[in-house]
Amino acid sequence: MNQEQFEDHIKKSFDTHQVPLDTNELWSAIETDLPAEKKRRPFFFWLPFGLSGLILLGTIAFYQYDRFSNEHTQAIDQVNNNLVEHTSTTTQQPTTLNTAFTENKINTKTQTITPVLSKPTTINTSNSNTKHTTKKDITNTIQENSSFLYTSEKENPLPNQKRPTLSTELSTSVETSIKTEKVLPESPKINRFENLDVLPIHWVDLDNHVTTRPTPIPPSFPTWRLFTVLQGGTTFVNKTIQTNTNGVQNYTDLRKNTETPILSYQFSGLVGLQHQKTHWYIKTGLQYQQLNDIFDYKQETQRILYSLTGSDNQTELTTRTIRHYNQIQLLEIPVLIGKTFRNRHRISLDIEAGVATSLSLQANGRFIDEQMELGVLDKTMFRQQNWSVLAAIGGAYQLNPKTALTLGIAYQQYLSSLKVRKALTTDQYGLLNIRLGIKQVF
Amino acid sequence: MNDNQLIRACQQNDRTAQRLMVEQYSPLLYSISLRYAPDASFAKDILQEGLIRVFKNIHQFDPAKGKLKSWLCKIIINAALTHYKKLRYDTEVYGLDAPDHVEIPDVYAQLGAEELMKLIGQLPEGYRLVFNLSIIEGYSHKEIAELLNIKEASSRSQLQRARKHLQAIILKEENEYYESRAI
Repeated sequence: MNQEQFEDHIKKSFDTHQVPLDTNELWSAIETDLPAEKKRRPFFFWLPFGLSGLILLGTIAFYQYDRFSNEHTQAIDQVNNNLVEHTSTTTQQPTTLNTAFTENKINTKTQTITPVLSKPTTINTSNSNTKHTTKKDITNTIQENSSFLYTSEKENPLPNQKRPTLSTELSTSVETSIKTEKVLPESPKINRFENLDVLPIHWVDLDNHVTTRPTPIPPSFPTWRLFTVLQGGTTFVNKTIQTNTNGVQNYTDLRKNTETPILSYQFSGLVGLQHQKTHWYIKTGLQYQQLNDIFDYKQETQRILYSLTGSDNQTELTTRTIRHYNQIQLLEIPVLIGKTFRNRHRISLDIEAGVATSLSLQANGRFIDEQMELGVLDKTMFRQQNWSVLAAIGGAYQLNPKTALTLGIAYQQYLSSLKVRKALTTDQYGLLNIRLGIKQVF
Repeated sequence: MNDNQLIRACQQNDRTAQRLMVEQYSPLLYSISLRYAPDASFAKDILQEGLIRVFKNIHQFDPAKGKLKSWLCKIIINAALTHYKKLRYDTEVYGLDAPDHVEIPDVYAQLGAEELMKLIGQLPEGYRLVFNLSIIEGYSHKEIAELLNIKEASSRSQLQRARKHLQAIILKEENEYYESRAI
């Protein structure tokens, strides 16, 4: 066989030659270096967003309804207060009828009106219950009822020339109300005053421009209150590190002796909804935290020095101590459920627990060895989405009915390593946060 | 999944397809990298680096212009050459030499790929490179000269020397065989 035939034989032999190898090992070695896959987000990724959206919408809806019902409850209270005032004795002379009603200071002489008004008169609210209440309807109703206001000129507390023309004034007032009033939902046509022995005089409320619409029945569902919390504080990082070996490099963790935690901190802005009777609440929002830590580890690297002939390869073992600076910035969405325990004083206690998922993670790692050789941590070694569980306890000191200062302690445990599986080290973070904040109730 | 579907999926950065490609082609590509590397560990490094290059550049691959297998082989060879460029490339003659015309025993025609690989593996690295590129991959001297950044004439002479060296190895093995039989 000549050289040419031999070379042909070699070529043919290698054409289809394959050498089996462990593809799992190979794949895991190259996977981390591949460009990031644009994978479809799983359902649970969107869960916190959906939940936050729902809570926000629910909060707005409840808050709006709550405010609406409070307005009318106040209106009813005001009517009742005015009636109480009517039966009390006061000698102060009001300057005008309007201010007298606004300040709930009715002249003593008007008290004599009350028995006159005990005439079982009811305002026909059926007209005003409709969406198409007209100025004319209301003016007629006022004029009809206003005749009961002053039974005689003698009892009139004000001189004729100073006395406001009630019907004119009320008409103007109603006109203003009609112009500014929005169309209200229909409420049941129930005469709420039919069993009262005194008439809850509608013109009393007209001064406040609220009685041109019917007084709805107070809602029966529980009251929820919207609140926001802004808080921030320092975080203590409790990290368990596990070093991996890739066959060539060995890592020895020196954290126990060398770890120097430096300031880590957390800020959050949360919005929540609290049940007024049971004091249970749910809250969500955004939480930003920056984790900083420094630690050392020993790296042993085995290098093979290949000779050109391939016959006298040498193995070299180098050891170096590396100081690692880690900075991780996380933006998270926490969802927390908790309960407030109140006492008669201004202090309350909040206990809460929940979950958090990270929206984004920025990692900024640097390391330096004994020869002052610098390196940068590969950002692809970190996971973008991480789940964690949280528990917190805190106190609140009420500054005024709507504002409170809060002081609390929270522990957050990440459920998996912040680094990817194939990184040389895997870190499991537990964060202890002490924070101060302000709570605003609406 | 055929090659075209596999390529399209890999171009979309689909991890499953990428893994499938690794499983399907890595035994062949590993064989190539073993021919260029001094040992298995080195060969794995070449394969690993080559596959990363494959997936980073697969969007440039056009199935109309050639077969996937050829493209993959070419990338692995380039990865191997990059590794060699990191080392000092030396093409000087090493010790062994052989007469101009040597008849290779017929028994060598019966050798399988594994044995042939061992035989070629005994060549000095510079010779082995040129021998692999020219004889097995079928590259012209012009292409080899460009790849290795040497002159075309150098490529020719390296191949001649590689052949002689290989013949010398065969002769040596033959002699050793007969010597051992004589004992």
